[in-house]
Amino acid sequence: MAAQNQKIITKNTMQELSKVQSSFADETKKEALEIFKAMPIPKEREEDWRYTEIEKLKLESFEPFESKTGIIATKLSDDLIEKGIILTDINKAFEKYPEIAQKYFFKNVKTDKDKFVALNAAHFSNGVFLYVPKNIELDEPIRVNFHFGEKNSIVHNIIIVESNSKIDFIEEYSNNEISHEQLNCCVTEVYANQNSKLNFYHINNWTKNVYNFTNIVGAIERDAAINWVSGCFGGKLNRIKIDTLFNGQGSQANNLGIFLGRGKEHIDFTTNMHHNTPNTTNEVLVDGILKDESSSVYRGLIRIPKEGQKTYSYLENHILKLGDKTLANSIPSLKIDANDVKASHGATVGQIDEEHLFYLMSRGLSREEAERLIVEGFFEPIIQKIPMEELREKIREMVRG
Amino acid sequence: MTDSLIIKDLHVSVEGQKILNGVDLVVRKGEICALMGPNGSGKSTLAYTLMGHPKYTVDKGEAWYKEQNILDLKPDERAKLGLFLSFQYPQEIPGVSVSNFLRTAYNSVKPNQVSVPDFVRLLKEKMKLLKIDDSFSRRYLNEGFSGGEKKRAEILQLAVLQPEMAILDETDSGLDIDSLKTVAHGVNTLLNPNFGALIITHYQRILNYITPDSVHVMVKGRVVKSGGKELAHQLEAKGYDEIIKEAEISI
Ligand SMILES: Nc1ncnc2c1ncn2[C@@H]1O[C@H](COP(=O)(O)OP(=O)(O)OP(=O)(O)O)[C@@H](O)[C@H]1O
Ligand SMILES: [Mg+2]
Repeated sequence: MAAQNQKIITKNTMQELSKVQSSFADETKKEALEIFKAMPIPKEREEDWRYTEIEKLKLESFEPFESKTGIIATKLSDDLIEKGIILTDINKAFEKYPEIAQKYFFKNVKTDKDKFVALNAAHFSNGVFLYVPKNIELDEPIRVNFHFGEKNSIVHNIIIVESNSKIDFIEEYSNNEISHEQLNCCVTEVYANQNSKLNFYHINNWTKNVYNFTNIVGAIERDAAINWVSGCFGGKLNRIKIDTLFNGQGSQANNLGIFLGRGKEHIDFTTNMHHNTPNTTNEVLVDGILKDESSSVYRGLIRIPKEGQKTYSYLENHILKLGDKTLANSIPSLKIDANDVKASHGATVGQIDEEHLFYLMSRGLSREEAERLIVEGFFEPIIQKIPMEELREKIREMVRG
Repeated sequence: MTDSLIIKDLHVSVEGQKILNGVDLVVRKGEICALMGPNGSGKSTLAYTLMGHPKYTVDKGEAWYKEQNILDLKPDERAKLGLFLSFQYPQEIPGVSVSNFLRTAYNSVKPNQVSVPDFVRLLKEKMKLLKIDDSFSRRYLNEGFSGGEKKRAEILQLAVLQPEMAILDETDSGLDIDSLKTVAHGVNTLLNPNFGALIITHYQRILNYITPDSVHVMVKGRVVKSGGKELAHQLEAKGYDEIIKEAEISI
């Protein structure tokens, strides 16, 4: 089934999602608030926070957390609405589609495991709810732009792709240049049901005073697939954590992550793959470049419990450090309890090759130009794996700065 | 004379080890000089030093080109003056396409920027000249190229950038006979009264196609013998040992 061809991107063809308060989530919020208050700020010695120091972060200084976030999303054509696709504000979804919303809301995400998930559950003020019914194949991506202005933002999104449907979803996050510190905290729940396919693109581009905590949890059912592509740019602390749950046989995931650190930015990138059923396939590739005095930590877990026989899971991480003042940490790990699996991980952290620089400079390129080509070239193999040309070009542009 | 490359009493060391021990050599514009010599005698060291490789320390001596002691210049500044080095072992640069790289290089060394279509035309023409398949322009620079393809790609760069003073470090090594002819033909099309070249080689073969004006022999970091093109024939016939012995006697 094909979607009507929609010309998207420009603002006038997109709709502003309005914020409507509902009582549905109030119970969850109330419970989460208690959990949030009781939880201490994470310490660097905790496994999930190693090499990221936020003990001094005064969360209360960001209060009040609630503020309306500017969200602009694809305007669905009448045809798509008729087919049952829902794209709306999450509060509105609680009100208008309580059955679907209740079924999925916090289905896989635990509020008591992560301070910022608890924060999100207690204080989210809006977010996107996307529901794609069975047997729908969209030719055009669904786009959502979150523009966080100058205030803190706590958003909660739910994306559900029902059986045999196939969509591309693009979410972009940005904010204004601001002089004070800003807190952004997002949780996105993703559900790819049987035999569905979701290409999920996440691009964030923060200004330098932003603390960003993004948690994405995707559940993949039988024979379904999620291709994650994330590009992380900017922010004082830019943390993204993607958990993939392989919940059905034959489920597949690809996880491409790209980040670029500049100035004093710290990037904290986690991919956790949980192979809970047999015959699942996964490839993770996270590539990052650190410039100036930026730092990063990448944590990549492949977890295969006893049930996960015949898993194929592969993880790779490459970091290119420009200059001695950058700091890269890479912690790939395998936790395997099944005996018939193929799994491996590899990580490299390297400096720019002086022989490469000399070769390029000998042809007349200045050191800066040579570095620029090498940086762009470093990302080119991973960019080539992105399934959509528009996004390939977008990431190239972001890398160029 | 000012557009000649003049090397005077050049002493160079690498990681504390002396490699060049007083090289004197002149490559005049419009002329082809061949530099030969046994393995490890310092030919590539000379080439790298002239291009400004940061690993090579100049202990003593000068190298003049266009009224400047080029040893004080950065590699890119030397390229902008008109120098070019065809590498014995070209680097593989992942993710950087041949055409993107060469266009950036072209715009760096030429006074006027070239438009993309004009550049594509120029690149196509030179690739045809060197019998390089069109697909190479999109490939990553030298990545996965065979030994011979790398050498051909070096000469493609030479042909596109059209420098005035080229050092070809064993460009002929690893080329089959047809490739050698193609590459030599490519170099010959560049010959003009303003172009000079230093051709480093072990074999007389390439000199059958590119006729040298002079031949020099380097041994243990010094040029020990110079002569006309017949010297290359002698070397091939007698080997270095005899020439070295003769040279030692004459020193
Ligand atoms: N980085 C280095 N560290 C130590 N020694 C080096 C280094 N680079 C070159 N050398 C030494 O310097 C000497 C000269 O090397 P060079 O590459 O200049 O020789 P060449 O004449 O070009 O030889 P070939 O004909 O084999 O290419 C050799 O003994 C080599 O081992
Ligand atoms: Mg050599």
